[in-house]
Amino acid sequence: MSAEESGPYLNVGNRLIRRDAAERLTGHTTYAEDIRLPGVLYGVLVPSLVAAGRLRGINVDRAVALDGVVKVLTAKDVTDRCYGNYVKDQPIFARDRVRFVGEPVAMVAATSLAIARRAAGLVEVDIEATTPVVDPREALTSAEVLVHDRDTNVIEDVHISRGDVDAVFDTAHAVVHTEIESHRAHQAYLEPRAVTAAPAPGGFSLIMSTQQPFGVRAQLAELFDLPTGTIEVRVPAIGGGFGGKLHLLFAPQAAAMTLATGRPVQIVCSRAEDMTTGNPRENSIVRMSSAVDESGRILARRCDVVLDAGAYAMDTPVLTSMAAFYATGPYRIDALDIRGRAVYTNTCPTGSFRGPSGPQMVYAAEAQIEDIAQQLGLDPAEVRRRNFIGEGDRGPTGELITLRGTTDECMRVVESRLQRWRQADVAPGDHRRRGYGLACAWWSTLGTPSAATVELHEDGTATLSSGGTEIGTGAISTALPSMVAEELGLRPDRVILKSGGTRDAPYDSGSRGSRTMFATGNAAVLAARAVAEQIRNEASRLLEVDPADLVLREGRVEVKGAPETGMTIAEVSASAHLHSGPVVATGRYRAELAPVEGSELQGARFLRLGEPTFHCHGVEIALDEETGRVDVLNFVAVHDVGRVVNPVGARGQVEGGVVQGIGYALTENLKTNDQGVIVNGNFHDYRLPTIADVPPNIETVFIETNHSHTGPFGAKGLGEPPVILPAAAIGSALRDVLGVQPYQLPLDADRVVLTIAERDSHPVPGPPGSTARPPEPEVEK
Amino acid sequence: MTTHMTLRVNGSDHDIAVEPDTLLLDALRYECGLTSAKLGCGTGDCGACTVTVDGEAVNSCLMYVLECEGHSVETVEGVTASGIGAVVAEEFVKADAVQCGFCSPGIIMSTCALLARTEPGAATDEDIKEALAGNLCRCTGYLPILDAVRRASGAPR
Repeated sequence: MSAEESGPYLNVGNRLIRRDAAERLTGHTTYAEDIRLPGVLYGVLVPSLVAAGRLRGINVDRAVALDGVVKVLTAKDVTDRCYGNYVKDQPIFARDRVRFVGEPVAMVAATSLAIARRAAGLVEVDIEATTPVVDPREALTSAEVLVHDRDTNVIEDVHISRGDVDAVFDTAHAVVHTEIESHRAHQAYLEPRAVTAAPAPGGFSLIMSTQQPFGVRAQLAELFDLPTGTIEVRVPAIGGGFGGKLHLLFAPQAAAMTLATGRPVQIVCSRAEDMTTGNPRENSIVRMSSAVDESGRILARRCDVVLDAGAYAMDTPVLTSMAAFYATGPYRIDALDIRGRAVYTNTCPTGSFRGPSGPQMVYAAEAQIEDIAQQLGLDPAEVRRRNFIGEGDRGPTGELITLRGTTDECMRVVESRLQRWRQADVAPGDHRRRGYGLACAWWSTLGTPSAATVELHEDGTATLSSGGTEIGTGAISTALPSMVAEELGLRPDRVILKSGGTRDAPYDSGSRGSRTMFATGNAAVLAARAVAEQIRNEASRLLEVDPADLVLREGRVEVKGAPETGMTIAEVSASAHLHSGPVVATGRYRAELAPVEGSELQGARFLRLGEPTFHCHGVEIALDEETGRVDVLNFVAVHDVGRVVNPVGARGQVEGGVVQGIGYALTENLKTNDQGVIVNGNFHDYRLPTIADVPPNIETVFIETNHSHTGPFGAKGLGEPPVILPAAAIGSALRDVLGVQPYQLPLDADRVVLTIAERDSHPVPGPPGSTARPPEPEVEK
Repeated sequence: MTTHMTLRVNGSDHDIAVEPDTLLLDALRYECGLTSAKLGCGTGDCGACTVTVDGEAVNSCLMYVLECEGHSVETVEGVTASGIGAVVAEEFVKADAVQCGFCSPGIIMSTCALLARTEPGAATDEDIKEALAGNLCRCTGYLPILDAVRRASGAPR
């Protein structure tokens, strides 16, 4: 153990070394696929090859006849209950109809993967293809092509309204319209989705690469009509998730096969399967109008967002609400008419991706700010400044903002960097044009439930049992034990972590929504505080002092102001075990649901930010106008996420998020053709940033003067925000160079060249780049 | 068509039964029990399966194991046990150059192959980027990896 690992007693806010780093780097960490249970069968799914059609029949005879095939399952062999996080619309295997290319229609289990693959190819699927609907605009209005047996493809329709929008628009100084379209992007975690099911008394167990084992357990219990406790979900190390491993993946199919065969069954996706059946970030259309006064103050906003859900709802219902919520950006707008809709299409279902609905909503809201500034001849930073939301204001749903708004502080740091970059010399011979841009945002920290148990042992060491999922950030493996240690006055290495599934810990709602450090952390801290109280009570008895006069520090229980009077925590714990009972407590946490006032909310599922986080990113780009290629030269990311518990881990979240955001902005684009086929579902054609693509410098700055009132040690969530801003910042930088910015993502070379061509073919009156496109009709109401 | 072969991995000989189309990656994982090399894509695009054969980095998902008879294969379990590989791993820990860790073994192997062909301190940022351009990482944003490799390159060997 290194000296740094044993560390100082006071560790929160200091550089923490990842506890699990060495094991991961030397190849000794176990991921789901690495575990092959004795007697395991290999499961391979038979996909639909068409996007829409009637399933006339499936002939499995040739597959079953193959030596080594143990079982073939189709819809008729399994329950007809459906599953889904919000809408239960997804069958285990397609029944009567197929709805997207890649939808499982059958599954083969065999004694080897090669046999299972061969057998899957022998399953004869008879589908009468029908016309698919793949375009969300068409799906929105179509009454002929309906993806499900419902009278509309619209599955979610959310309204947020506040104030008298019509009156404000009628009398406003100006109305500014912005419309953007965004693309699909895949989470592209390096570990393809994997699950192994195995028989267990009364039910089954899973070894699964999942971000929320308790959610998986609950949904499978309902799907298979089993008591929750008969299902165990074990989570080994996860090779990345980014939202893509929140849903059930192929757990229902693996579990169904285990229940049918009584044997362990493993399904590991190939990269192609993973990318064509996963839940990528949805494509969307955002139309936004603002009524503004002469100074650029936004008096009212209308917004209409349409998300493409794909063939099944998955997380889209809540993402629709999030999209609607984030239509204001980090700005105070007192009159709102926001509509969010999601539509089914015959395409791969979309879903959560780190910062869901974030990148396109930030892009839209920030492009709108720039459009307002351009139309009024104002400085966009000044327009932002005049509109920032802050403490005492109410957000779109009427939630009272209880923290100081710090977007302006974040933006001032970014502006200072942009100014410095503008003054730097360009290398001789570099003909590329420089652009400078910024974007602002706010975001939530999900406060969904968590429990955690802390037990202090007789020797003064402790065990933290958490159902939280270590997704790779270090929040569970490293930060949580450190926070518990700090509460107990122990060195971090004295706190042992037990986590990784449903068996060894109480409920936790998963690694998502930037919540782990905050909500799982709060549960752990609450448990630690209760344990500390038990220790103080025991020491109070032994030392004959008031428990309130005792502190736990540096492994001892000491009398305040008289540190020489005290005992070791080990001595007190041993005594408690003999005299008052084991030293153990469970902390439970759920963020308080603050009232929302003054808005009319219809169908909204996402109402609160909790304590908002505030953000600003700035970028310097080099644009080759001939080719349309954009290179990111410099990047600065400024975040107010309250107290930073682990600076080095936090920086890692920001840098990784920024690079994902740059990928989303410039090169990543999961394309579906008009037949509903994903045409680039592999790592060759889907272009992820490589080490050769990243900017030489990403500066990370934390504004740490705005601690959370409720987070552990003043912390708020950080995981998602870094990914939501880069596209908007790059869009702003393109406008800086070109006078216009693209209104369609991604900002790849083709799009940039088209934008330049469009600008040059539609010369507009007024100052350079005064508006980017002809006036648009107002948003439909 | 099962044949028997001897696969030399991390200095030890493994007598294994393989098919003509058994991939080096599968042989390492399922015949030799060394699971550090990962199947990330199966098409040579992500580098999670990187190991070295006679010191050179290869995508083990694209190589038949029978091609490796008589050659020396190394995986991250072997190279990080001592020497420069251990230094590389330590620099990755210090730089916080690992998050989910799924890509890490491959990245360490590409790094070790680079360092084996360059003098201490000689690898430029361009060399490092070229050596690691075939290894995708979705978590870190690469900057700490670059930093760790620079430091490891400068370390005495």
